[in-house]
Amino acid sequence: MTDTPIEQPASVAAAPVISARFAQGNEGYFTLVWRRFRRSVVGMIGLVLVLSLITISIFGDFFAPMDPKQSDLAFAPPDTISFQAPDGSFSLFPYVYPIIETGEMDPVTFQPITGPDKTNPTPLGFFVEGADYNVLGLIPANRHFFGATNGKPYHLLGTDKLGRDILSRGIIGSRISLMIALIVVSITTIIGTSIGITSGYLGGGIDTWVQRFVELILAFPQLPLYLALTSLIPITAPSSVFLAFVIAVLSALGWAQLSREVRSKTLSLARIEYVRAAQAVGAGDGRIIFRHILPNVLSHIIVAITLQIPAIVLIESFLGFLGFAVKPPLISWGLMLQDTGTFSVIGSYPWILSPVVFVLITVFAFNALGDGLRDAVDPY
Amino acid sequence: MLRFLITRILSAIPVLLILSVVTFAIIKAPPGDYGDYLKSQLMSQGNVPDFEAQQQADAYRRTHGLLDPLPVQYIRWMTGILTRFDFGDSLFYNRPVAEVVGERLPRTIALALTCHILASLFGISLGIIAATRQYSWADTALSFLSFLGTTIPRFLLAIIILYVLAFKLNSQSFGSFFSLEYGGQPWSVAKFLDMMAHIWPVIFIATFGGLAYNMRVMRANLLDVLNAQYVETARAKGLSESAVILRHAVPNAIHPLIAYQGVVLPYMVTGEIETAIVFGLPTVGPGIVGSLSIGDTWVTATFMMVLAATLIVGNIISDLLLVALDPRIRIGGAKS
Repeated sequence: MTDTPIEQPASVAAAPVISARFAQGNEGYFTLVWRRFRRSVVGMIGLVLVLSLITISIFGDFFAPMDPKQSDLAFAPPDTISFQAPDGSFSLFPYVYPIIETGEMDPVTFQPITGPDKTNPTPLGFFVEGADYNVLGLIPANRHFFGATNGKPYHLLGTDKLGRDILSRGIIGSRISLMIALIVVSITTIIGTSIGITSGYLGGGIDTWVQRFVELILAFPQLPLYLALTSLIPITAPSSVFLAFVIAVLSALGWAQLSREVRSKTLSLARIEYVRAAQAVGAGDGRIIFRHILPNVLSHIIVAITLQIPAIVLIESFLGFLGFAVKPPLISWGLMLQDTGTFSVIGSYPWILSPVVFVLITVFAFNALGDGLRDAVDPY
Repeated sequence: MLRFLITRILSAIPVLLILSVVTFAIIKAPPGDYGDYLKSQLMSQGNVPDFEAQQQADAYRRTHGLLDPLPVQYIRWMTGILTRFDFGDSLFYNRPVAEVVGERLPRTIALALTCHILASLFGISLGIIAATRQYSWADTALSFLSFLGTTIPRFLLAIIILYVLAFKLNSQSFGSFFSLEYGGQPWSVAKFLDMMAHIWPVIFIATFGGLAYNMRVMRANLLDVLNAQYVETARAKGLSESAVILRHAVPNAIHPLIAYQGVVLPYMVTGEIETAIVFGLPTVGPGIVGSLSIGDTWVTATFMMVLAATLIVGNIISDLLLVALDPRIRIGGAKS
């Protein structure tokens, strides 16, 4: 290149392409992972959904249109949004009209005919004033992302048996549900990884006994055991104790599978050349584990984390469905699903099933993210 | 082979023993027992005053040994199992536990096995279809299907199907295995169809999840195998594509899937339990939940033990199958 000045246009065109793809001197592991991850459509959808879920749950008070503890009419059906102003003309800002009896009867069945009450409109808007809350528990505020401009109650997803807004409860409930999942997964990851690496690296008698123990835990039928363990919690326990207990139970059984996977990875890594070389030059066990083994197991752990979070959210909601949920005043999706166990209730008030949708979105989001990550974490 | 089988069965015994102790301790730990359930039933259903109800509950506890220390209760239960194969008596049903469990367990196993076989058959064949048509529209559609299958929570799917069946289609076929008119009738085609009408949602939901897992594993395995040199050789010999895939590639791709059954079986059993609880089918799942909530200790403990034993047996069978199908694997005898 230096002795032949650039004359051909072809090589000029090729130069920037090459520099863009190869010339950046240091490309970290995460750059490579991100480049591969970006190509997966499902993974990107998952990432966007997960980020929005986390944002919504952190600023839940802002996104929830109502106070989740405020009580109105019990089992009120969802309000329909109408883009018609009270005078019948089209309006860009939607209105909600309360449903009332029109005073007329159905000529055949003599049922009272209900219809929207146009004289009593509730205009909706963005960034409206509503119930007071504290941003992140610190800054007092009363602006809500979306809500009624005149402060009247309205329920896009209806209300539950105590007349509380299901949409707001679902948004606030995401905090506890996601928090349980995140804490449980952090605990199981730390325990599972350390036990897996220790067992796989040390080998010998310790490995045998630890593996017997792991097999024992894996042999337990998980679901009935969760049920039995959650029924251990005294009914009178305060809600924080109850929450801690649920987390402890879910963590106690969750680490075994991960530790197994980490162990088998460690076993194969411990025999690889660079680990032997490190041992030969006299590196300590700590250095070998943290500098050579852990970074190589990390990709697997990251994927395991993203796939375990939805599993925990699901178990929490299933336990809630069976009646073992967190206690009020805490709100979680499991608690909201508690009422759906009765046939007659979901038959008359199907909208109380809507927490199912929250759980579905969460599970889908994390699974999609994990799916994309699984293909991307091994870029070499 | 025989030695392997014996070691596996022997090593399962301590697992089951520890499991029984832990299960028993967990069941007995929360305050309240069947006596409390009896008392509350007497007071709410029979209008018995508090004092008398308490007396009756205490008398019940005495006659049924619920007042003995926990180790004594446990050892009595265990000796019953070991010496007489007697799992104790169900307090709620007033029948031997073996009868209660024996009534429900075969149903769960039959359901789980049906789902398992269906999931394996469909999963493997769809996996073959997806792998041989990699990156085609069929592959994409099947990948999407398998993503849905592994993602959609089974109990939420069960709730939704239940809601649609009960309130949109006005079906009444759930909560039991048969409609009323078939009770006590001998087996017939009509009775079988009636049973299918009751249990198809459970089979569908559990199969769907397992199918997706099997398909995913099978596709990945077959893609690996199809790149192997002996497949190339088989093609070079001029074998037809179907012979190459079905005779040379598929048998080798199936091995990891069989080893994987140890993971799939608990998944299928859990799926059956979850959906059966939602649909109220009288199988093991609702049995555990029900007995747990009223303190019917022996029933719960036996269900848990039997489930664990089922899973262990399933694992042993999958190991044996692996040896039978793959002559390269020698278990037990390999000394390195």
